Amino acid sequence: MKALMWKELRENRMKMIIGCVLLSVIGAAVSIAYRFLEGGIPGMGQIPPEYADLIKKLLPDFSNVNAYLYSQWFSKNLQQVGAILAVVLLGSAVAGERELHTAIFLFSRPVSRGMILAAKVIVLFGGLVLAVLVSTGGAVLGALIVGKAPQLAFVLAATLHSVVALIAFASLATLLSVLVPDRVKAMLFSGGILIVLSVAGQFKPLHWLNPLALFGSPNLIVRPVPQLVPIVVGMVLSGCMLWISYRMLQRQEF
Amino acid sequence: MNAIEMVDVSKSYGQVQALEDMCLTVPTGSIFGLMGPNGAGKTTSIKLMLGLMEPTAGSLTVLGAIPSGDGTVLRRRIGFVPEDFSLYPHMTGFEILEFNARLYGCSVDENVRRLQTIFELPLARKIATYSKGMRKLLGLYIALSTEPELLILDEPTDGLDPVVRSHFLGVLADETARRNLTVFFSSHILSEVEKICDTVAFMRHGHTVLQDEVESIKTRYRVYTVRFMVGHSPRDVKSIAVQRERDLGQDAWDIEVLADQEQARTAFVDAGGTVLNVQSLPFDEIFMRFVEA
Repeated sequence: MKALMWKELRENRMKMIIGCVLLSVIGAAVSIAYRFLEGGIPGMGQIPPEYADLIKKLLPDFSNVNAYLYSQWFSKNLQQVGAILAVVLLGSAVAGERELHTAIFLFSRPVSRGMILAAKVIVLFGGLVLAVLVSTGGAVLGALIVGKAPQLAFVLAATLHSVVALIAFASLATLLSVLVPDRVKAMLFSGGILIVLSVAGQFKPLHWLNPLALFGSPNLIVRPVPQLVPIVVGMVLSGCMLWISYRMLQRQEF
Repeated sequence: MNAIEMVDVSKSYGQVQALEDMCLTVPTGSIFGLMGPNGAGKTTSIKLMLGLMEPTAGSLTVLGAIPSGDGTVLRRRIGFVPEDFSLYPHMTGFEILEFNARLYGCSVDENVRRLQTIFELPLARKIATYSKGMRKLLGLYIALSTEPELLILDEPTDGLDPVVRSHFLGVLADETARRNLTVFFSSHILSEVEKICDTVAFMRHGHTVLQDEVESIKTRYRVYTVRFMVGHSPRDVKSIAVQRERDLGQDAWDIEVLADQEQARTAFVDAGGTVLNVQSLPFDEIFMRFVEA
């Protein structure tokens, strides 16, 4: 198992490092930008009053840094870049082995397919979670730099939701990676499914389909306690998709 | 005990029948060559032996175990060099040997150092920089490094230049002689099979048409030219022979028959034929006659 995990880490380290750094930079930049949005950008003049009113109506209350972080980080940048990272990391997990003709070598070694999949999932999910934690740390640090300390309970609850949601997205990408023997197609299918469900979920009768709901609702801002339903749904969905991935991998012929 | 036993094994992919009632017996300690044209079912047979696929019907045992059930444990005793495979290009030669050894639950030890004196590969270099020949040699190096009981090679020398091929086969022969290793070797390069294997099986359309020792095949099979007159039919000897039929007119047929010497003459006489000519053939020609028939 250790050898398999070492191989995965070695193979995906650049993706994980780039993802982590990129997300952290975005996280810090989003928080630091709070200062400019709150007080206007120096040298660029104030926001014209007609737009300021509009922005106030459209955007959350900028006097509340939790609301700002929720709207601009957890439910926007982390959601979007994190979803891309989840799809890129896991979409190539098994499909990449097939596409690059290394599957026949790997699967003819004396290790079970379950162990191969487990090693991939542990390392790549670990990389994804690490990217969420480090980048959220960057976002919090950025907020502290501009003198706004977000509420710890809120940050922890929103981070937990983000981790659960992104693991669910990554589990979908894992399943597609097992089913589709081409890593680009596996990534496109995973991303496509998430986009279609997100769009469909915007319509009220199909609201329950929206995968972005796994990130929790804006109620987190006022009541920073993890919300049971999205967390349980996210964990159950992830478990089911990983189980199906395992069963499908067991049945596949190489 | 035989290293590999296949009895009436069939394998289909949807509508495509890759193997049909395939029978094969590989004696322990032998160098066994499985020969057949492209698409005959050689790679499918190997994948079944490794438990990478399950047979649709029939029974298969490898080293006394059933591959589809005991695959993980069984593969610890097997070294395998696939036909079309890549090794992780970001790893160095030494790293892939170490990775493989850890998957087999052993360490890079004295055996690897001994093999390095034979293979002389630049193990500190990344695999991405290796030539095709070096990668094939590294594949054999990896397969031998864990001291397997059974070595399975799928078209191992395909695409190699004569120098590397000769080195590859030399290493294989030396390692087999060093200990009681069984080698299962699939190839369509007849000269190397004849040179290195002691037993072979010919495959055609998903099943074996002949299995015997190389020397036995060369001495047993001859080409007979037999004439049948009216009232007799060459169809009567088809059960023992592979033949090319030539109709001479309404009264006679000449047939050219590749047949086992022990059975041929009696069978031809019983069927009313007259042997016109007997000719010995080289090994590759015998193979061609079998698979073309």
